Amino acid sequence: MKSRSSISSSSNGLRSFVGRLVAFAALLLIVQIILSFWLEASFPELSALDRHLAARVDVIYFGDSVLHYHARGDRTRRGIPELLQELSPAYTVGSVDHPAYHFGLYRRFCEYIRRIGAAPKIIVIPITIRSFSAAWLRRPEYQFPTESIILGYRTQHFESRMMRAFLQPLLVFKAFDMRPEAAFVERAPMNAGNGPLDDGADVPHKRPEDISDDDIMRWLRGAYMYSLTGAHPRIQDMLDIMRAFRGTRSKLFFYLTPIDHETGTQLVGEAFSQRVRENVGLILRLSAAHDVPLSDLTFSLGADAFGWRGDGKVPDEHLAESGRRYVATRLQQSLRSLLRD
Amino acid sequence: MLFNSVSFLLYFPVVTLFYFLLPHTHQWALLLAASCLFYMAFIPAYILILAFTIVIDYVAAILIANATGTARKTFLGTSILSNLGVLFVFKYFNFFNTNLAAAAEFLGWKYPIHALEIVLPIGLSFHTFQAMSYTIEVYRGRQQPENHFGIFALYVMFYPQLVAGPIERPQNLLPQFKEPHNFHPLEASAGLQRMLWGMFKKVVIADNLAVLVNRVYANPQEHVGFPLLLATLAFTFQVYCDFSGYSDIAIGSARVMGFRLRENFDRPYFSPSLGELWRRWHISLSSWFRDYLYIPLGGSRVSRPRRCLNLCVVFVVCGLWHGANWTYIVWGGLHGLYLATSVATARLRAELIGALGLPTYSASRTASIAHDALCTAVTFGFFAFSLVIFRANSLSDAMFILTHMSFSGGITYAGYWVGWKKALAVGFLAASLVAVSEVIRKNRPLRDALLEQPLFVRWPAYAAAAWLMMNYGATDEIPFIYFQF
Repeated sequence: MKSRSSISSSSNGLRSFVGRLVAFAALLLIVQIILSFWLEASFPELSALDRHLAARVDVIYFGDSVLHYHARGDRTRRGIPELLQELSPAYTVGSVDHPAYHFGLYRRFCEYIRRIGAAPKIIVIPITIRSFSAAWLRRPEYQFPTESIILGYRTQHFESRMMRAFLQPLLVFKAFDMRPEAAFVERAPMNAGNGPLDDGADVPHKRPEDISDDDIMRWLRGAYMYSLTGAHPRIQDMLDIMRAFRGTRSKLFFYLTPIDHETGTQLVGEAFSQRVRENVGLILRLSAAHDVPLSDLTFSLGADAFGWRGDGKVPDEHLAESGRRYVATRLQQSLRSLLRD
Repeated sequence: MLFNSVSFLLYFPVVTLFYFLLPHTHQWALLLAASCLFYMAFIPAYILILAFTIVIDYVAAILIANATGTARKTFLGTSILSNLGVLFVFKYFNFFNTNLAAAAEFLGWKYPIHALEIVLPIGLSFHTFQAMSYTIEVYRGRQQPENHFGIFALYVMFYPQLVAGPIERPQNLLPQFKEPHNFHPLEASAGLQRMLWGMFKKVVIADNLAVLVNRVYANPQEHVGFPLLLATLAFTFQVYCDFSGYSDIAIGSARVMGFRLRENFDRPYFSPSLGELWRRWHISLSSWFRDYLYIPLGGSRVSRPRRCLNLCVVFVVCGLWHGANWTYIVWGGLHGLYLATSVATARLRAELIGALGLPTYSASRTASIAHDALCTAVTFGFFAFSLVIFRANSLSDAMFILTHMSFSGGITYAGYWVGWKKALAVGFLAASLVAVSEVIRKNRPLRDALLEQPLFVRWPAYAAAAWLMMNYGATDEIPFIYFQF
């Protein structure tokens, strides 16, 4: 048993120790608040957007890895935004892109733009038709939970000094549940027409040289041949974006990223193009219903314009230089007429 | 409940505060309840597995102590079989079952046994080995059986080291539960400082490097060339900082409450040989295998071929301890083979050095430093190489990484590093800080020297570490690597 004197000295020591701990925590708190004026929860793409908005660029160009991919043998490594800027010296273009970005992220970025009252003349959003596939929806590294939380808080509490100071420490110490909602994942398109789809067919987990035509066919079906409906969570995000910018000074512009339809049709047959057309049709109808201009480049390029044969494993939509130049040129034409309006 | 989470940062001070406010006679009960809650935060029902192990070993130890002759062996055998049985069912059954099914399919036989749909209980291998060391020590007569069931349960479940060690021996931990622990500000300071250091290693270094490692090792075929090499190097630092960081937090949090846990790491990457590295890496596990497997097999007192065989057996079992996957078995076997080769060629190498007239280790200070540096680099290189197999999801992935890594190439688009740059820079810079601190320390950690400094030196140092952690820690949820074992 503890003696009375040892309990007393122990509790005195504890009290003074706790006092010092509280003082240390207060010191840390003050340092954190002061330094948060310069440093706060962010990520490179959000910083890029902030820079573009501060510089009042005319065109904010969102996108995924297609924007800055370059294939082996390309003479230039410049991405589509840089090529577009070269073609369009009359206005400024700022890109905000990251591999595997999707409508979920674009919606949050757009909400943030609206929240802070910024008004770029045009917001360009490419639609990679594969981004609606089950694999894209489920892959853990495509979830971007931290980015979503930061953008969510910027949208809701951007003026709050306390939130700005403590969001990053709260993220570091796992104060938020970052697991994707089960219900959300369940809404992944797992059927193609009337039949079931292969199990979400992700990129085959094999060396490039070991991938067979069967593997590629399976992947093509999973990546492009799902049945897209209005209930898809990413379609809902797209609708939210269109609603958010209706009647505002900023114009939205969508385009459908070209896909390697030649390889798809060659391996899977006409059903490939047919299914993609149906999915594209839904997107075209929705954008037309909301008066948002959309350029459909889905079937505009031949197999030579894609870079996957050099270093990829499957016929995805990553573009070689000729493909990037084509998209930049088509964009330049569309944006010119939009800016004229 | 992860150590690097808000919930633990709230849980730990509350438990500690109540621990010191309670009289000594009730402190064990509080710790036991806190340990149960901590464990149940993962999968509540799995507490029953722990309860089963605890009851079996508690009863077995008392029976062993009171029995004579073969009965003692029977009771020990029952205890060990029960522990290993639990381990087998939850950790190894599906592995063996899958391999048997594949073999049956190859032979064209029907295989009727289906895989079990179970989740591996967290830290199962750790607390099972800790419980086994208790009954073995009682059998060997080096430990009296513990009659207090609650204290024994606490020995198996003590929450700071419950899920990833250090694997304690009963002689060290059990008596500490019976000693009164008054609050000592110096002990508490030293403990908190150790926890801060461990959190820093985990949150700033390991988790930042994990961003690249997890991405590359999840789909290695998507990354050819330099990224594979960089991810492998990153993983050598990640695994060290992750596990030694966990051990620091465990040792530190126990010390705040007045408990002394054994050290688990002693600058392993500065070891001049692989044998030395294994004496300085995960010390509580390697000494467990030494005492309970290697020495009973004959240790170093047997013929050289037998000793080589023993080393291979011990390391294959050590690999299997880490996980039910061929990668771990091959990784362990590789280390066994390396150490066996080292033993088998020791005399030959000494004769070769003499015949070539090469400077010996003690010839001069320069030769000694150069020799040490070369040996350390080779040892580190081999360990990093073996970690590719340890970390890869399959042996074919490991082969792909080993045959495709290089100092150049592999980056296919300009945005490749976006999102990784900051994490990698922070991770590697902080890892350099840890490396420097380990180089300049001699016989005692710099942490101890810091404790003796005045307040105006200590507080800014602690505040800087805490601030870096809060603002440059990784935000992804990355569990401690050794939790899965």
